[in-house]
Amino acid sequence: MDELLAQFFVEGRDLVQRATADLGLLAQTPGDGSALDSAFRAVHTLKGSVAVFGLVPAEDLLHTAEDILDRARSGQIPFDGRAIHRLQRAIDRVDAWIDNLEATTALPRDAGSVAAAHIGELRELAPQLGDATAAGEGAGSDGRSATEREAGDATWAAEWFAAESARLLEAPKTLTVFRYRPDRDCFFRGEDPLALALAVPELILLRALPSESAWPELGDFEPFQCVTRLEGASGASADAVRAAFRLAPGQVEIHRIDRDEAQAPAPGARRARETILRVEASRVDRLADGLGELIVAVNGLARLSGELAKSDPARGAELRAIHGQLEQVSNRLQRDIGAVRSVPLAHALRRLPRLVREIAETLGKTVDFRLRGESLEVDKRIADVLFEPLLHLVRNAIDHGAEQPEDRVAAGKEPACRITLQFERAGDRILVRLSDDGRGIDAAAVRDTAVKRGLIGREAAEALSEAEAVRMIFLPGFSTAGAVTSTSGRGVGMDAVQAAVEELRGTVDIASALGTGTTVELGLPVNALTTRLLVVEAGGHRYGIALDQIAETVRIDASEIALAGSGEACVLRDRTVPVVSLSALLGGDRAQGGVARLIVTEASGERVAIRVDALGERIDAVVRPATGLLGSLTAVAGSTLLGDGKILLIVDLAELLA
Amino acid sequence: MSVVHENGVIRLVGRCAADDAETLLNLLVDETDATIDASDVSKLHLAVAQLLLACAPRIRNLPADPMLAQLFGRRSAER
Repeated sequence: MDELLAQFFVEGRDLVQRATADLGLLAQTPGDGSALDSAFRAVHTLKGSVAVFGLVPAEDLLHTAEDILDRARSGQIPFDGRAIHRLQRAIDRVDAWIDNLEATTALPRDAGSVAAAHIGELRELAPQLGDATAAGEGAGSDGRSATEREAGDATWAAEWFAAESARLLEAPKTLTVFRYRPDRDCFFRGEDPLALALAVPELILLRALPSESAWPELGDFEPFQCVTRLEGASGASADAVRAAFRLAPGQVEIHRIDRDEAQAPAPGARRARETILRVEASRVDRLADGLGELIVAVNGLARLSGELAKSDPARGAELRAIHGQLEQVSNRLQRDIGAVRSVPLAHALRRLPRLVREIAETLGKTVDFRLRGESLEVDKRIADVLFEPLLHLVRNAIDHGAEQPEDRVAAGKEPACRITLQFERAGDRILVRLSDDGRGIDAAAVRDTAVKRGLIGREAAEALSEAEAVRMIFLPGFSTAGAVTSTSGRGVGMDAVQAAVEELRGTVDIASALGTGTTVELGLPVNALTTRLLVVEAGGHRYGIALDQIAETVRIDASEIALAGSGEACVLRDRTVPVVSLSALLGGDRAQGGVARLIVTEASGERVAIRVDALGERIDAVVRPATGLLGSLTAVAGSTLLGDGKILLIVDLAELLA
Repeated sequence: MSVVHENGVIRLVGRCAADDAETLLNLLVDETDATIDASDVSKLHLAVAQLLLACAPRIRNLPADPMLAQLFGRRSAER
């Protein structure tokens, strides 16, 4: 894909997200000046971006949205819920167009008329806007429409100042910043704008930029047409600078700017200047894979240093020290790579608020949707996979949970159904809680449906507690929707959500109270999905053990294992370590044979050697948590499917030895 | 003459007026490999300056005048 376009997809969506967040803030805190400024800047920048790709309907729409925001900033029009709603709809539309552009490389055919409808809606907010924008649209192509001049108030000056701040360190605290756009034919009149600008008193900085987005190709250059704008800063007063430009009236914008105020530009403006490297996720994955192999190799070194120490203690100690360093470095690398793979959930969820609004509108429901804790960072793979199940849950909440506004009012609730999606970190898990204050789930109705669908017998259904009955909505083939709606009835049930979440090694829980609402809670791992396992054999079966529970693996002569009290023990690295047999622990016979293969673990707090019959390969596997019958077995952490289709049980050593 | 072409280098000398823009443009178009030496410029009309800006990568030496050099987003010391 065109690199510029690819960048636009990322940055355009960032801007949509920012504008949406700002509008959300404004809805909660009407008159929040900084949110209004920030929304204006986001829309302004987004307009510039869509213009680069010739997306005219989007540009026109954003142009009008920008006007509205600008007028709201200057207090010319009231900025109420209606304005926020319409602006949000306009921004949602542009967001959908960006999706469309990515999928089909073009805007939908009706984009022009859709934009016109939105523009009409926005203009109703500011009746006096009509003429000004009409003129502005006509002049849109020359990049200097009337609106851009109006809109270009202190914002550009602040951004300009921030961009140049490194070069203005020695400058006075308060500066006069000017932007001079000489008209195209000024050279014919014998004017030299550069000489004029250089004559500005106490000039500190002067830059020349193309008046359009870029300099013309040499072949297209008209030597006597001015295609340059000049921007500069002066230590003199605004009046003194204005006087210097008295011969170029109407072509210069002048602003006083204070360093302290300008040093704290909008968060977005500053963020854009941080050095950010966009890297394909697959490259980071390769890095992580390579590191995994490195860690295995480093583990091998540990064994070698132990063996060497027997014949040459000094050399062995040296090797062990090197091993320690390598281990430290590789652990640090692992942490760093994990951090690189982490992304804020907000990125993956950015389409969610828009889709919520669309779904609610389709269903005629009024929804007050809130996201909490979306800045939480999780592994990218999880963030990517999480969106679909969450969308499904939210869709269900709107479709089945939210009542019609009049029913809500009759029940003594706010007309808008409050749906909150909240993220929270708890150790190495994230908790995702989706709660609504809708009608709740009727356990009796769930029982009836489950029986009707043949998912459970009547008696068994009646024996279930309310909570257990509600959980049946996760059974495959279950759907409480009396009528199949276009929104929820897509043949995907809650069982698909459960499957998707379990794929992520997550858990699903649901609690509902009839009349007051429903809460669905997902528990997910923060880290990558796969676990490195060592496959071992014991008592004729194969088991998986998480590598992070294994300190080392050793082979010793069985005669080195001695009886100690009621158990067995051996000496490893000059320390007596108890030896237990894995198959005996799991209820089988004690391991036999001349050579003892031991797994040393510290998982239970002290070193214990676990004897197995054979050590197999190391694998990366997606471990599914133990549920159902498996869950009732102690020491089984979960299971995974092997390449040959067999199921491998994962043994949790800490639990086994507890 | 304020725009001189010699040995693959286009030199700008002294005061470059608006009229020099056409000469410079023709040279830039014809001598695509030529680099630009602006170190001896004392005054630069915007008509000439904007041409230089449009082909900034070809500039070997920026004007010695720091304020003029600044126009190119760099300081003359960085040339």
